[in-house]
Amino acid sequence: MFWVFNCKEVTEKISLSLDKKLSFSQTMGIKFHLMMCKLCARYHNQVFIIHELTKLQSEMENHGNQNITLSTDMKNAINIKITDHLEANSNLI
Amino acid sequence: MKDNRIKKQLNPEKWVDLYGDYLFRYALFRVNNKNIAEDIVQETFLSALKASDNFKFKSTEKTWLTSILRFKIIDHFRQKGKENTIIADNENKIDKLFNKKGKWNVDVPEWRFSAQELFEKKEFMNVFNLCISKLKGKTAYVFHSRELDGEKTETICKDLKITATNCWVMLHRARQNIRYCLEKNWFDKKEEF
Repeated sequence: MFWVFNCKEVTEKISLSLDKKLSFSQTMGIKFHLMMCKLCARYHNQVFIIHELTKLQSEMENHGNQNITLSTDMKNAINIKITDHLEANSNLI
Repeated sequence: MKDNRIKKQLNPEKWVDLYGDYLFRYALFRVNNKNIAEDIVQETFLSALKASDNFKFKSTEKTWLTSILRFKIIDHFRQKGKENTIIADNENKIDKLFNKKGKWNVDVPEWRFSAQELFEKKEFMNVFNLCISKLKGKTAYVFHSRELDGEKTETICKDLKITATNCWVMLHRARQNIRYCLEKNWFDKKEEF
């Protein structure tokens, strides 16, 4: 047995399947609907493209550019501000 | 008193050395501008100092700082989005995608390219990022955390104090909005693609 979904419900389940493991009957319900419905099949494909694009984007961010660093000047400037803030607050005690 | 507590739990003196580069790369990748990324990192540290009472031992310093940075980046995009003429997501239109029986009211045109092919088109990725920037408030935060940072939904729900169902509904909304935005701002306009 599997779920019978309409298009609106299928689009909700497609999204959910990216965040949570669906039950077997739900997964079959989606598959069955996608076989019959061209528009939902396209929608499914598009949501997965969006998902894939965000993954490609964050992979590049995590594994690319390891040599890109905050400049020493900027680091010093921020550290000065942090120290100032800490000192200003400790004076209040 | 207050400062003693900060010193026990957090080490702001070490933040820049420990997390500065990481946060900078994170910001730079999203905003694509060195000066803006530097500003955002600086603002993140300063906001963190002011909000140090909100720090919970459960999360690490790095996660906590990253979540503040994320809000700063979203703010930046919301400002930038105001200056852009991109066709915005429209909740009403999305509600009208389906009829009362839950069937499509509109056509869903085919996208003829794979994710990899689209990823390689700079112009497309620009539209893609603008579409993400059009997401609002918590929906934006949930989408960024889940899709771009790969955070678990449970963690996101806890951060925002919302239920898992609420979180999933927001993610669905976000995906619908981005799909709609890409269709209007890219696929409808670039029929040759």
